Amino acid sequence: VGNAQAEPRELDQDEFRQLLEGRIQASLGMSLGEFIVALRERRLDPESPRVAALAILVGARAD
Amino acid sequence: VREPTKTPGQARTRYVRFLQLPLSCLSQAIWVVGDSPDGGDDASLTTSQDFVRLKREGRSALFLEASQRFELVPDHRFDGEWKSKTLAYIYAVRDSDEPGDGAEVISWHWHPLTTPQRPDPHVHVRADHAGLAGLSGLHIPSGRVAFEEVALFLIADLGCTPARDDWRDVLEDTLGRFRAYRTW
Repeated sequence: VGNAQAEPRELDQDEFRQLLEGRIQASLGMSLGEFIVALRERRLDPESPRVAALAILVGARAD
Repeated sequence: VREPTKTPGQARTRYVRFLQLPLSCLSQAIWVVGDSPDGGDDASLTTSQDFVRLKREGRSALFLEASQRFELVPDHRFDGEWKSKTLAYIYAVRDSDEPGDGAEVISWHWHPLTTPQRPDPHVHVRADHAGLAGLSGLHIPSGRVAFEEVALFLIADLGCTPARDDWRDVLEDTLGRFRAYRTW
């Protein structure tokens, strides 16, 4: 197998948003902006598997 | 050997570089890192593939989902140094790469900022058991789980094929580093 190792990658703001847009759209059928608003308005269950994972990536905070 | 970091940027780079080591034991996937769009100064990292395919000899593949949220803070143990502080993690083992919730089999969760009513690390086992209705919805207390421990579990217990020959040494070393420098 060997011991080769790839390097992690820093994404700029646009790249990271684009990555999150794609994942949120694929899992929940909504945009990043809609997801953030839906979390703030508590219209999504923050403990369901995909919502929980995506919520920590967007940096959501339940205040 | 300790690697001091004198700036937040150095601490961020060090953190992700060391976290790449256990991931490299499982796959050629990489961590991708970015600033959290709705998280102020927080950063997030996730794997380059939404669900990382994990080969298993003679058995169906499994898929890993892994995400973390972290911030950079002064390291009060070492004058003038910075460290990363984990704010949340989710590691999940899935039986397919379909994005729905139904593919999840086991997961390790800690997400106190999004669920203040559930501040502690826990495990989900998405299974049914005749003697314990609702098992899949339980939040099983776990203590803090390191990504290295998940990687070890995937290889040693679930039979995932290691992606490098020295995986045992790498996981032992990085887990030792995590345990030496963790603050909680």
